[in-house]
Amino acid sequence: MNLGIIFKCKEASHICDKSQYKESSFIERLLMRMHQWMCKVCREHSAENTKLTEIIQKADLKTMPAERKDELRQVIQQEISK
Amino acid sequence: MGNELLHPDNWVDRYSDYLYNYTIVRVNDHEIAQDLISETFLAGLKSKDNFKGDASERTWLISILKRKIIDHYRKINSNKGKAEIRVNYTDEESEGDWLEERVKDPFDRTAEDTLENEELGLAILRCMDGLDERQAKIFKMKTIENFDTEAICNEFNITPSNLWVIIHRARRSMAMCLEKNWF
Repeated sequence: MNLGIIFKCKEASHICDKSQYKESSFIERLLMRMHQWMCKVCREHSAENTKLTEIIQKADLKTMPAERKDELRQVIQQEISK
Repeated sequence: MGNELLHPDNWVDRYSDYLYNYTIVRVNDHEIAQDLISETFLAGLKSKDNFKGDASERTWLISILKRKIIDHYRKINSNKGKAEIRVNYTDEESEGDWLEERVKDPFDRTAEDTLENEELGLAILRCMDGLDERQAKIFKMKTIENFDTEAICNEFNITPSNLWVIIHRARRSMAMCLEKNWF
């Protein structure tokens, strides 16, 4: 683990992105917090990023099953080529 | 004549999820929603010469879908014989409790919340139009369909660090778009 992360915005924002998908480790989050403690830009970016995650969860979006999409694509292609 | 053109070969990628979310809250059934959307696309293809190009493709498809949804409810109602509104009076004492009095329940926010969440969902999907196609697909898989990083990397033949760069850019542009259009 490279402690230099504490000083790099790029690393901090990468950890922040991973955290949105619960893919960051405890140590990574700790280092990110230490960075954010010093860096206002990353603090704001992190708040914005977390808000995006929250509203996407709140919207509870559904996606059409992939098989149905494939079927639909085929049907449309057939109709176009008629 | 407007400037908008139809691109039916992109309809599924661009609009199917948007129409799907629009429909589900209205018919409350996944199968029926999927059927209504395929009917909508077919009706759109059939009447594509009527498209004047004044509205956007999406607006035009939604207007067809709305009619399909109305038809769907008409069909259900004619199967039943007639549409009914039922108010159950369980005892004589509640006889004065008219329908109007029952409609408004200030503590029941569920309906409004559902409506607001639907609007929000559609706003999010509209903002995805601002992403390029591959970026949008990857963002959707990761964020909405909750696929593993590994699964997405395999499908698109990219490395995890490629994926995170794409996700990072997508999230930035989504946040900016929603900032403008929602918050």
